[in-house]
Amino acid sequence: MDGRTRKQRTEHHYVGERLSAYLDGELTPQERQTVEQHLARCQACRWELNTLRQTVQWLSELPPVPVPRAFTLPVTARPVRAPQRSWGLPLLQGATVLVALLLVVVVVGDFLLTGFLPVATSRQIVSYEQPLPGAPSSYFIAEETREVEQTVIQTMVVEESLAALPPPSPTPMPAPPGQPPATVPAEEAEPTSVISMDVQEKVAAPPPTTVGEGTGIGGAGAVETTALTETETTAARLLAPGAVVTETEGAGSVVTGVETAGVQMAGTETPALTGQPDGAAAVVTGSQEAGGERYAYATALPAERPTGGAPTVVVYVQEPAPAVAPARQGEAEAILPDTAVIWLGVAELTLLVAFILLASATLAVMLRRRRRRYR
Amino acid sequence: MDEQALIGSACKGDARAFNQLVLLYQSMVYNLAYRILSDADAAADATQDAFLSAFKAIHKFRGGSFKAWLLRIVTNACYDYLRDKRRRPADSLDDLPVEEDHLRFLGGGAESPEEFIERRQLNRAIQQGLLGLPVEQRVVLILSDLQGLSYQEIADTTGLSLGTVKSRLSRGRARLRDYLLEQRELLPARYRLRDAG
Repeated sequence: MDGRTRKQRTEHHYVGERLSAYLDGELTPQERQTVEQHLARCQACRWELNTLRQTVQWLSELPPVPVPRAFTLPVTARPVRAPQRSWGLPLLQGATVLVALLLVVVVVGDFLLTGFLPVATSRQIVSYEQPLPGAPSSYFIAEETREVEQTVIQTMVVEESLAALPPPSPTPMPAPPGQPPATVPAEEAEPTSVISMDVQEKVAAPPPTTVGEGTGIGGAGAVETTALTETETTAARLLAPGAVVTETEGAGSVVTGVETAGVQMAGTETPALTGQPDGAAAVVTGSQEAGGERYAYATALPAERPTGGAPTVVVYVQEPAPAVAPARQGEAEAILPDTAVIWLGVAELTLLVAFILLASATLAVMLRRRRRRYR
Repeated sequence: MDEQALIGSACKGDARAFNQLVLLYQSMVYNLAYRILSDADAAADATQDAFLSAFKAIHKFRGGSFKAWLLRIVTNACYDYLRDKRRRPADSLDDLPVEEDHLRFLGGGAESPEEFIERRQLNRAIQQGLLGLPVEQRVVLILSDLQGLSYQEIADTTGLSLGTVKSRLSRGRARLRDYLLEQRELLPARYRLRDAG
């Protein structure tokens, strides 16, 4: 290249990097010795050093600029004074978060309360419907003189509130003579299956048949449900706890099966009644009010029933529409009063509006501050 | 009142004591800002901002060199100004005239009028050369060769390591030297750097 050895080039570079510090006397003694020895034999580095020295000299001779004015502060100035806007944003952010949390708490609480203990549930207290107008004043089987082994299987409907229910009884309450036996409250057996029973006269009934003595139904003529036969009473006593309609399907659906004391009487095993919806399996045979509770008795239809005759009364099971169907007789007190629901809604709405306002204010402040910073 | 006593009073909120510190250091602070920014108005703003910030934060001053602490604050103020300038390139620094109005020939000095004019030409060239440096090199060069700070003081002021200070200073000086070499023909003969060799 220029005739210098590699070692010389390396030293040249080494010295060139240290000339500035050499000018300032900031080299170690060893570095300074190396630089000075190199300078003695390297003209380029001497020129480099001289021009650098001249530059620094001129630079340091730059005259100081006179200050255009005094930069003293007004004596009212105070140190360590937090800028006025410094607390605004954290406050806004905190309030926004707080309101958001409150909103979540109220909404979740509302959901939990109305979800598990809804007002609607308190209204789903089962009601017992009286026979339709025009229908016989009592419930019958319009079956003529047939020896039918009947089992009183079901059921009772309670109009008390859930909270007012007595504790579950392992055995049926014995019925007083002449009174319908106390059966297991439906809610005890399976609260979710609480239903109301709607008796409808499906076919014009022939002269109603008396529910006969013993195990059969014999004779003709209506039987007042209040004057239950001993058979019914006896049969009702046989009821085990847990008697419950096992399958219902919407309003107006038929009883499709009845289970009692472990005996399954599936409606599907029962031949369809003439002109009846498939699976009709039970009829109500009586009702009674006792002890402030109202009971209904359903009679399972036999599996083999001759087509002759005129089975007329069919039990329809109607599930009350949630939250809408009012109880016919007695309505349990709502667990959540309506006013509480209203106030809950008002609180939610207020919190929502407050959250929206606070969030937009926070965003606005943050955006404004960012713009100011970059101005 | 010595500097430490003034600082102590200022920490307690005594603005008058702090103003004495301002009067002590305002020339140094303003000159640093002026050389970095090459703009009298911007330098005045940066200086005022720096003193205000210093007063508000004086409780954070934990001893050491008050001068280095102050220079650090004004350097940061200059960086902020330059950063904002870069966001608004409409009036970039390159368009600003180098102000040398303060260099008025007063007469009666050692320099003749001709020498004064020639010196002003050189100073303008140096200021332009400084402006052409990367700001990191410019700051270190000004702190060292105009403010006369030691390497350690520069490291304290800028927060850089000694090695970084050294290398930035070396490169900055070489670059300014090269600029003056380029401008050689425009400079008076006595201010021309000689060619190598």
